[in-house]
Amino acid sequence: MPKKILIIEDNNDIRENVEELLSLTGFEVITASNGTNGIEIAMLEKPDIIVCDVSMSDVDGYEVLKHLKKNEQSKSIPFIFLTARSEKKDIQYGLSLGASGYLVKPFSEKELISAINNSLLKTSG
Amino acid sequence: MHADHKSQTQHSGNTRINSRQFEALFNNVIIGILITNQHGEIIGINKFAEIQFGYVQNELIGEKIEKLIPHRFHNKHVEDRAHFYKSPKTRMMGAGLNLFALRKDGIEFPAEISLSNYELDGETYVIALIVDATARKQNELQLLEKNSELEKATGEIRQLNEDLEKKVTMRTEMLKETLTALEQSQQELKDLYEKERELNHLKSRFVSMASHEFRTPLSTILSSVDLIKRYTSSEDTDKREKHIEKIQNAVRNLGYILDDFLSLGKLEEGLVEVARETIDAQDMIAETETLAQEIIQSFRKAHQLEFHHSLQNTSLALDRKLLRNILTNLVSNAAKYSPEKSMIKIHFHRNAQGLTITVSDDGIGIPEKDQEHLFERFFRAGNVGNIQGTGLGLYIVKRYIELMGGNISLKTQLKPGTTFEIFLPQP
Repeated sequence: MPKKILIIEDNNDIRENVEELLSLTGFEVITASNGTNGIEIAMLEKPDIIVCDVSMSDVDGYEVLKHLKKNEQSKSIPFIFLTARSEKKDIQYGLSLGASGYLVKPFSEKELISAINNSLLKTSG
Repeated sequence: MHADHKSQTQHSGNTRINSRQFEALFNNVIIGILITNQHGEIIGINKFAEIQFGYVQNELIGEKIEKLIPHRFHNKHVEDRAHFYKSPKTRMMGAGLNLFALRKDGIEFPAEISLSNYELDGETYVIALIVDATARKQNELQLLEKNSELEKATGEIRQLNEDLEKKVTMRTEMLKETLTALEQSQQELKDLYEKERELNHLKSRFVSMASHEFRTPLSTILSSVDLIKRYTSSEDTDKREKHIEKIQNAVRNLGYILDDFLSLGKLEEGLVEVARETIDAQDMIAETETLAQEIIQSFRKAHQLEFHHSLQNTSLALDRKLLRNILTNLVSNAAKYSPEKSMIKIHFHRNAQGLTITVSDDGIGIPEKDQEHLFERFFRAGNVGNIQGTGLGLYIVKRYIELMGGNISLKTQLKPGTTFEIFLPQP
């Protein structure tokens, strides 16, 4: 059974491209175009892994992760930040919240897929 | 009687002064004593007076008192003496008189002399007590000298004090000036520091904004390239084209961002110069319309463009490049912040003073609280959400327009949406 991935990204081009890339790679992909929507879908769909942007206008990626970590059903879902926020303090903060990966934009297909696979391995193993 | 006897015995012993004791007193007291009769003749002189005046025993008995007075006072003294005997009065020592006595060897000495008198057998006698006042005079003199020295010193001190006060006043004045100068330079330093801080703040905002603004279109480009690589069969042509278009848009977006950065850099360095050229109004209208259509198409939001102008066959003096940059920014903003299929209006109006251009959209508008900051560097309104932008566009637009002697304003009364009005003076 293919792994279910939730993409939370408010930039249309990037969200579409990531969705397309991961579908072609063999994942089952669901998407959300903002943080609030992302939390809802995560609770509803129980994805195997979440890839999430940080800078979003309504609820940012950090808040999404904090919210999911508080909930028993969603707290163990592996969570990867995919963001233009490249400063060390941002990365450290993201990881301190319990993210299993932090990917800085621009990213290559290889980087994205290996980050996802690593996170899935970490949590299943 | 018994009591009297007893008292007499007591007094005739050690305690009662008798004539021998008087004689001893007379000769041993440490003050000169002279007794003269009515004729001014010395009838008695004690040992101490003889020593004072340098005579031997009884040498002066019977001599006129004037023998002991410097010659220059003789006449006056004889008169004074006669006067005194007529109505004798006691005179205390130190009655303010400057008296001089004459020694046997001719040396004068200042003297303090008291006078008293008594009568015996119908004759008046005068007793003079004499003190050598040399030491006292010297002391007085010294005291006077000291006093005058003291006065001199006091005067000097007063002078010094005055000088000191002047100096203190002067120094205080100088200190005040120095303090003022110091405060001024401190203020300058503070201002410089503030400027530096502001600059650093701007710099760090610029860096993080630039990083974010570049990384986003780069992500689109890179992922679209990865996808194009996957689409190898001829059926995938549409998909390939879709991604090529995405890449083109992202690259164009990067170009705009770069343009903004370069414009900002040039503006800050004062390197932007206005190069006016004479442009035919119809050409300018046509160029603008083409530009606006291109921009709108690149947003792929199916905007409608309303183009209106009241320009006849006239020519305009404008900097083509700057105007193009201004319009690119304003039309891009209109397209960026308004919904799909909405209307973007561009109007041109010419009057005697100059050219007015308005660009309006039916977009999200600008919150009232943000309006005053709209033209500041890096400022972005609170309602932009995740719409990309550098916060530089309107700053650059305003600076360019000002360089051309014009102005730009936000027409707030036209709601919803946003309307900017540009005025460019014409010669």
